[in-house]
Amino acid sequence: MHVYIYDDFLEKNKYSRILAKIETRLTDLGLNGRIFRLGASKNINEIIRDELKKGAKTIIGVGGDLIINKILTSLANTSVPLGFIPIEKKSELANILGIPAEVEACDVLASRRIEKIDLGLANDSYFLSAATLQGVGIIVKLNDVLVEPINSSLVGLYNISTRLGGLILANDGKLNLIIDSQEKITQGLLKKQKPSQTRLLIENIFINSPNSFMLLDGTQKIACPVQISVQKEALRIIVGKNRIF
Amino acid sequence: MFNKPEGKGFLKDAETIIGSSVHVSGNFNGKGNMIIEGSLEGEITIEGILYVGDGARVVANIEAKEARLGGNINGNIKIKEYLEISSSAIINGNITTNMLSIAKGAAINGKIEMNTAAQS
Repeated sequence: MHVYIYDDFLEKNKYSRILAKIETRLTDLGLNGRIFRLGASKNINEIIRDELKKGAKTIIGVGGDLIINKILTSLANTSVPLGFIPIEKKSELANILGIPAEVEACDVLASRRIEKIDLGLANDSYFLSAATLQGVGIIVKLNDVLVEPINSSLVGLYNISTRLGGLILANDGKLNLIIDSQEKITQGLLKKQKPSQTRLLIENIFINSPNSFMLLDGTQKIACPVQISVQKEALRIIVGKNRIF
Repeated sequence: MFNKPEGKGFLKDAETIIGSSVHVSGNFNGKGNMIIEGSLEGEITIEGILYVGDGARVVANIEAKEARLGGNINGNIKIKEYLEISSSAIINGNITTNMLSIAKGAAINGKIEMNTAAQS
């Protein structure tokens, strides 16, 4: 049985026609299943766990990139694959996974091409793409190495992304620590700022910043301090033949 | 050898980059290349190429396959193959290497030992 989780923004009337087309195509392909809507379902992870116990074959997120984080925790380290039907045409995740938007994504589900990929684990919460924190006075510890950004910085742990000038792979057993900040420099009477980037490959890391939150996959906030590790091949995910990894 | 003119031709392949607005303390061991533009205290042992920028401050004993060193460095330096010292470099420490290039203006306070045994 397939379980479809609809993101809450799909409740808007403008999506009703495209959802009807998707549901028709899924029925044609024999992939129809139960549908849960995030807005109405308070605890989606509890629902997914119940569906897994009932023998769900696939859990499919329908919506934007943010839907994936919302259903990830229940699927980590299980044998049940995650599917994705992107509704946004500019989805970064869909581009990486090689999944076309909307109705065409149904054919990718039907092909059921599955890859095992790494996940990040921040305290008790999983992330697929990135965990980020912006601020001053951030402390980063990795094993016996202490990294202290001097100025206000954006600290990010990236598992899978194309936003940083190249593909960051989600199946290399590492997370990419990237610290972006502005270095203050003085040229004569002029004070300027020069971009500065620090990059390290890590498996475990501790991050703290007083009264701050880390943002997981752009949607889930968790309070500092945060212990982050890479969970190797923790997720089975359905990909398209045009995936870029 | 380093690509001209910037000398950071391997930048895209560098496993570790320490940016100019970051201070790092600790020991680095690795197989890949490393770039330091900020400040670092500890030990550096890498099997790849090390690039230390002109504005960097490093307090560390360094071991690497090849290196281009600029900035302020306090520590002993062992380079298996080729060491290029730029004009901005101020090095306080002993140097052991196989091949050496020193630019005009560099300052070295320490012994330089050419490891001729490694050439044979």
